[in-house]
Amino acid sequence: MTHFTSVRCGGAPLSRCFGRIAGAVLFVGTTSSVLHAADDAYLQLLDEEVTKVEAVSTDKEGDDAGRSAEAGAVGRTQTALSRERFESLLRKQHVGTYSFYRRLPERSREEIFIDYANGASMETVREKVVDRFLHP
Amino acid sequence: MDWLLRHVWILVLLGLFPFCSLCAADQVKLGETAQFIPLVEGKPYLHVVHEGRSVKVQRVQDPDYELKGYFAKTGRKCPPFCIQPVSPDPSVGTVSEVELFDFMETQLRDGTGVLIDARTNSWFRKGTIPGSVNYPFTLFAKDKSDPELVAALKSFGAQERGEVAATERLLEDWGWADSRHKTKDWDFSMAKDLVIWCNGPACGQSPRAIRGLLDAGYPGEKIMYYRGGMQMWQLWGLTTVVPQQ
Repeated sequence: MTHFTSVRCGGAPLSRCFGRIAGAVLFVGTTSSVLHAADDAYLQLLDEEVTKVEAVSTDKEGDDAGRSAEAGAVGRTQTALSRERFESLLRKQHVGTYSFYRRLPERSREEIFIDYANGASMETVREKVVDRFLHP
Repeated sequence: MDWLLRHVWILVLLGLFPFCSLCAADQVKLGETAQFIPLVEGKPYLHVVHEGRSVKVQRVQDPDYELKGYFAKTGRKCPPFCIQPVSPDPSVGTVSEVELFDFMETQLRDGTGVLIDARTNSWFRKGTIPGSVNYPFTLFAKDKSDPELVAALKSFGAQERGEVAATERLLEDWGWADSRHKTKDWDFSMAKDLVIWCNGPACGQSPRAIRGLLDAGYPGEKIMYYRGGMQMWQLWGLTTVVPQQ
């Protein structure tokens, strides 16, 4: 019968092997969290930089269209405001999902918002956005 | 009678011919006057579809126009806003505005190409290059099985391979079957050409997006990097649009 301490791992005793594995796990975990922290810092700096930029459009026809859209938006209902909050949440916390959501037709966006307003979880909402994007 | 009518028509057509030539000459002159600044020689402007409407891309015609604001700055904190190499990867080509104009008039127009603004959405909303769609670079850093990355790749024309027969795999491994644009999970044979850009030569967002796409298996030869980005686009006084949505 093989004794536990006699089991070897890559030429080293098993106890030392556990140490190596723990070290590796710790290293991977630390590296990953350092990378995430670096990404977060980069995103934060990007957010700071963007506040220094003024919106620039040199497309006059588009500007006129934008102004008329703004005029049409006067008198929005409470529902529309809630939807704005939902879209703002999506934009801030789920950038990728938001990039797909924006491309959906109005009908699908409204449907997704109603789902969310009726208590669907954010996970369900995200799945639905991707589904509607792939199967319009 | 027929003979007379035929000759009258010929005379009318011959009479109109010099007049039409003059019209054409006038049209050419319109874009080539000494004052007019074209996109490139012989191309005064172009049209591109952005958010469902046609946008005219041209240069600012004021000869005294000077770039002001954020994109006129010469320095930013480095890192992270450091000058980028000419290409993020040797397999990816770099394009200038001239090639981008051609891309807008060919691949983008016929749907075989996508112009990607790889900046975060808050940047995109400050103004973008007409015809661009916003796929933030963070999307391409996601896990390969992430549904959002999968959806993005599918929207670029990539096809999931699913289960591949062992013989087919073997033939591909031996080089007897075409595996040039295929990975274990994806077939990029029909994938669209992508031009990816961000804020300019000191912006790391599009290089990150490109590296993410390459990691996912997207062929480098189908990706182009517009290194000039928004900074050079604005420096040339080219049309920008603020997304309505």
